[in-house]
Amino acid sequence: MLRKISLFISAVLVLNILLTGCYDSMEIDSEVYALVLGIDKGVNNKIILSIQYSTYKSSGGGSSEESGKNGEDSQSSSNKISDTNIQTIEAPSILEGIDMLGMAVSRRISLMHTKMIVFSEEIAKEGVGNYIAPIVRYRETRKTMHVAIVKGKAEEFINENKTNIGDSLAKAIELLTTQSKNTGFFPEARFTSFYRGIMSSYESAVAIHGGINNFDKLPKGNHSSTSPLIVDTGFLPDELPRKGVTKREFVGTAVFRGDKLAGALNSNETRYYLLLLGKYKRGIITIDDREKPGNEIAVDIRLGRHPMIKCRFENGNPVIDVNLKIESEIESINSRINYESIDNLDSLDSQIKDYLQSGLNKLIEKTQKELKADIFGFGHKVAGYFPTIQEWEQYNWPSHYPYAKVNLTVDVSIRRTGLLIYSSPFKAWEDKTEEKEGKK
Amino acid sequence: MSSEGQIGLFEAICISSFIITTKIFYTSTSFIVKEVGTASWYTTLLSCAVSLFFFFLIYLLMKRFEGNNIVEIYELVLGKFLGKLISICFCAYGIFYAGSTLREFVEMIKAFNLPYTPPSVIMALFIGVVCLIVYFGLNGISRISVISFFPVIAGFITILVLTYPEYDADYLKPYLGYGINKTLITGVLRSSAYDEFFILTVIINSIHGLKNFKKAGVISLLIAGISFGISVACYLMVFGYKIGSENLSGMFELARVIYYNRFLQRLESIFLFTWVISSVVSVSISFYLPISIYCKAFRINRHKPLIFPFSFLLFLVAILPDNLTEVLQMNLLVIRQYSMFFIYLVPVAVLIISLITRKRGAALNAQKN
Repeated sequence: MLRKISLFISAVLVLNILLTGCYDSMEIDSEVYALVLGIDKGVNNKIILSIQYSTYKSSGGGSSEESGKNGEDSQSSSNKISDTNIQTIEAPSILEGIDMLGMAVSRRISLMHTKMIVFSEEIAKEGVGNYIAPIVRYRETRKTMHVAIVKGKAEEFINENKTNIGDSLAKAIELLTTQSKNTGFFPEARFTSFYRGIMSSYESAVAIHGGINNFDKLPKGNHSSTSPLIVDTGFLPDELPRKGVTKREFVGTAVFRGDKLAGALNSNETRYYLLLLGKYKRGIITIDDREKPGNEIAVDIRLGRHPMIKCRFENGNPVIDVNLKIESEIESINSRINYESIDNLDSLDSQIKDYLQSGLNKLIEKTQKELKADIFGFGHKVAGYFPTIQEWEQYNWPSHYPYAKVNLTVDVSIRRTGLLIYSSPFKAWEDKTEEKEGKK
Repeated sequence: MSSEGQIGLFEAICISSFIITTKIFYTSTSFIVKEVGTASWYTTLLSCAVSLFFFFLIYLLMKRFEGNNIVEIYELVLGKFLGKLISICFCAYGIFYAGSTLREFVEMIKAFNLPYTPPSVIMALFIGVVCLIVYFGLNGISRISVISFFPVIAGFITILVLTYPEYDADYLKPYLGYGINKTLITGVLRSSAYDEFFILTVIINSIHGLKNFKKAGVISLLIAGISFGISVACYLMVFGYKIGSENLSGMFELARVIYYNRFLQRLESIFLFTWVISSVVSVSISFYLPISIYCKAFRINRHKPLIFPFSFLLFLVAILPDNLTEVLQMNLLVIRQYSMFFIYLVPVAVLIISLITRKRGAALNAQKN
């Protein structure tokens, strides 16, 4: 009995040592977790790699300056942004670059919590295929990370990647990317879908398009006597007329043909793209009131159901029929025209429909003629007409997409009218004042 | 081996299902996508159908020799020497199977979770646990299988359900994959991936005879076929046929793409739980199989003294391949693509020989007389 008990205790002790994973154990504090990876084209070697990692201090975005004043990490190549450090190095590959940074950073750099990978446009135009290979294969990287293509250098973008809301930049990055669901002005491009897109024979890949806004697009000087209403204005990165705290911004969509950047969609085109894709969640659009031009109507639009996309062949050419059902809610009618009434509702439906249909058709034309990239994945529907993969690949959908006929129908239904059910005109008061002044 | 004990129908189903389906969690999914592309989800169903066909042929053999296990049948039909020789071949294959499965598991866990732990350490620990389970015999294995069955199924379903937002059924097009011929050939060859139900022929006397044998075999094959079909379809709907053929573990990658929000992500820990449990159970069963065959072939009543020497053999087979590529392109190719020629055709040949020589089991003889 004693022998058995001692044997059991010895076994437990041995297993305690072995089963606790001594070989691969890693203290959380002995690693730093890269939040953003930036890839720029190298000068003397293949890439310039920038890494932004957290410094484990929760002192808020603004007070992190002091954190870098001492210690080995406070070298000239290191910046302190929002409780994070930024390190940049020229290296032959991403993974070796990370190891090389181990000569300067006191802790091992882990990619387990990387939220985003950023490529410069320059690299994206040449093709990102070579650069994403390690991301696909390396066990630490997660394919749920976002992919962004930025105007200018990725390093500069990361240098401006800071937050002053809350302590955590990791949280800020995750919330920023989910802004796509709230506005639809940029896509939520995760690595899985991006990689699938660049490898795919059905569709083209897209990524978030970003850049740095230098705050010089906001008009200065005196206001003109009348402020014209301009709707359907799309922006690209660094074109947004704004001023603020953070210079980095995500505006629009970077479109790929294969693994090469083919062009970009502006912020409004991105909304149309997401609508057609069925990934548009919500967002407010402003249209010019057809009955009273110069007055805006703001409506919140969302998809009534997933887009119905069907494909057929006519004389050997693919014809794609797309049906979009859109629901909307009135948010404001500045003209005070009573569109809420049953008689006028159709008129507003028609205005929204025309607005969307025109934008959607222009976008489809742009992807066919200019970008030559099927970002909508129409190829999926066309592939159903080919029995085998060989025949499908031989058909070469990307070469046929520019010549495909796309018929688009949009149905718009206004479901709700906000918190008001009737718009009273301002006109009564103005008219009476004018009458009295006339009598005098 | 009368000391093997008795187990119920459900336990037999769990044992057979575990050993067949565990490969879902390994490289099997990616491999079949690479072979037949978008047709892989129904190719595996075709493989299941082929396996059911061979199962019924083997059932006819078992029926003809009711009351005998497969080792005894070989001896009855082919004579003692040849029968034993074939049993030893099956025993060797069992060791090869268990060792290769263990090595595949080790390679994958090294790739995903324990990159710096020496493989021999993982193997030694794993074999230690397997030996402990096998020590308690068929009863121990069956209980472990039953206890683990529902958590593993729950983990498996959880992953497939949570991946739902990523699914796009259009990735299943073109529907015929790389062509009907390729699908048919691969479908028939890949029936090897279902041949583990063979264990039921060895332990038939412990599962209350022929009726339970038939039920357990059919049900476990159907469970495996449906699980394979659904998981491969889900995998294809997320990754498509191109990158779907690249991944080391299809199911692990599926678990890794789950992302709902900041709070609901990184759910591969559920997968790990499912994966490790099913691997331990599966290797235990496949390790028990050669020991059981050996005991039956040489009329050894107690299997326990054999555990230690067989564990060395298991370790040797597992450590033998130089690298993952060798495991995948040699060991697992033999097991999952060509083992049918051995596992299915030998019993079928024995059935044909028994029909020609008009040999039958004692029960049928008694009935006839």
